[in-house]
Amino acid sequence: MAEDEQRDVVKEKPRILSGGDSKFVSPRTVALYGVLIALTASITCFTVIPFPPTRGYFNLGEAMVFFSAFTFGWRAGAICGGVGSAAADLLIGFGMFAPTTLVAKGAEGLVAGTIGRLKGGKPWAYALGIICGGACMITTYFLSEWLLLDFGLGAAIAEIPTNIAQVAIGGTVGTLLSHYVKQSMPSLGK
Amino acid sequence: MTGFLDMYSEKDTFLHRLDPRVKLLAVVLISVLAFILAELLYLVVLLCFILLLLVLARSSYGKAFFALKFVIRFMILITMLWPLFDRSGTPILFSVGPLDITEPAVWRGATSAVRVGCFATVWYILMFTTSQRDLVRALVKLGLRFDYGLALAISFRFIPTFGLTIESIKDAQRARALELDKGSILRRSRNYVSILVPTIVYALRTADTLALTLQSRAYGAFSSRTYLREIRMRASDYIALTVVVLILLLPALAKYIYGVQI
Repeated sequence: MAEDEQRDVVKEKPRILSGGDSKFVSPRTVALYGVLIALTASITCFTVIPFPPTRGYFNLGEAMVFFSAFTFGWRAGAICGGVGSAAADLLIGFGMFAPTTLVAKGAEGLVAGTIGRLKGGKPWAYALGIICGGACMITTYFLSEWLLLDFGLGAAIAEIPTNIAQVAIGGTVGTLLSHYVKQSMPSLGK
Repeated sequence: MTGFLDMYSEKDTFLHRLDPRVKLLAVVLISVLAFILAELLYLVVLLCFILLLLVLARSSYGKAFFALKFVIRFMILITMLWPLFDRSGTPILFSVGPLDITEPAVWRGATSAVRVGCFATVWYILMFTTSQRDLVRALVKLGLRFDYGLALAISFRFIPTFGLTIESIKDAQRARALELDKGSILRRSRNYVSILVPTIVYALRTADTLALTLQSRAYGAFSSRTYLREIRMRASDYIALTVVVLILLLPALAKYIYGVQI
């Protein structure tokens, strides 16, 4: 029963962005997006990996962006990744990053979801999706910190290695998550 | 977890009573103002003004201290890194190997740090004084489609729930001898998969139930929905709006029309 409904969640084409005649997003999509946004935000807040060199800077929110993108497609990746990560930024007190995060993680989810699902999700497509999506995210953060928020070139460059590590680890974990969750809920992602 | 899940605390100050739309606009306008100002002195004045508002918002000491700790760490980092990458200017203070630390670069670093301080603290005014419910409602009033607003409201409601789920699954897996703080960072994050998979499966089942709930409550039956508590602009909100717009407009006029160095 539960699996059948999940399949509908995935198969149903969200009508809102495709310019259909319906005035609303279907209740399933609203519930799915709401839950994915909450998951992204809570995983960003609650899974800070204790690792001495980065002073607990590391979190697995990135993995959730890739998971949404690979499992539910680019639309879910963009909305849930962007809004969820921006909400997490707001809640834990990094409000000044929230607009940047919305764009950066949204673009990351969009690109990863588009490229990662090419040819039905081959391993090379996943890898390419992670690399291109990660590149979008890192570039957006760098440009915004350098030009918009005026951190200075030094501080903006200092962020890049952390971001690269975060994308590498988030991409790996996100792919694994997508694989295992599809295994335990076989109706997903068809 | 890195901090508080909700910066909001229930108080009764003029900032709490202000229309959330005005507060959102104020955040944007003050950020633009911080971007316009170029002199260190005026930026410090702006930062003091924002901190004064934070005091008037009567935020709890724990939350304010937690928030400012991040900001100060950022400001120190920027002040230290700026002169290393900016070597223009003549009075050289001292040289370390190939690096020359010049006086104008140090001042520019300090200016930039104070500006970032303004960007960061101005958000706390919004987050300390606006409940999540009001925030979503303001966004819907500002033109966000209400079905997306509903998704956002649902997500704000479930963030603490899923946080607790993660914590309890973490404990359960630890009791089954999962090690989360040993080994390389890749190893550690890999171990988190066995916590996140049950969490995600649980969350997707919740989404299922939630969809049925929405449907059973006639979501989407009417093209516009009503709210129990509407937000309306009152006279005091219009006054605050005028003040906020003037705070941006006067320095911008002075700088771009009359050419005053600020």
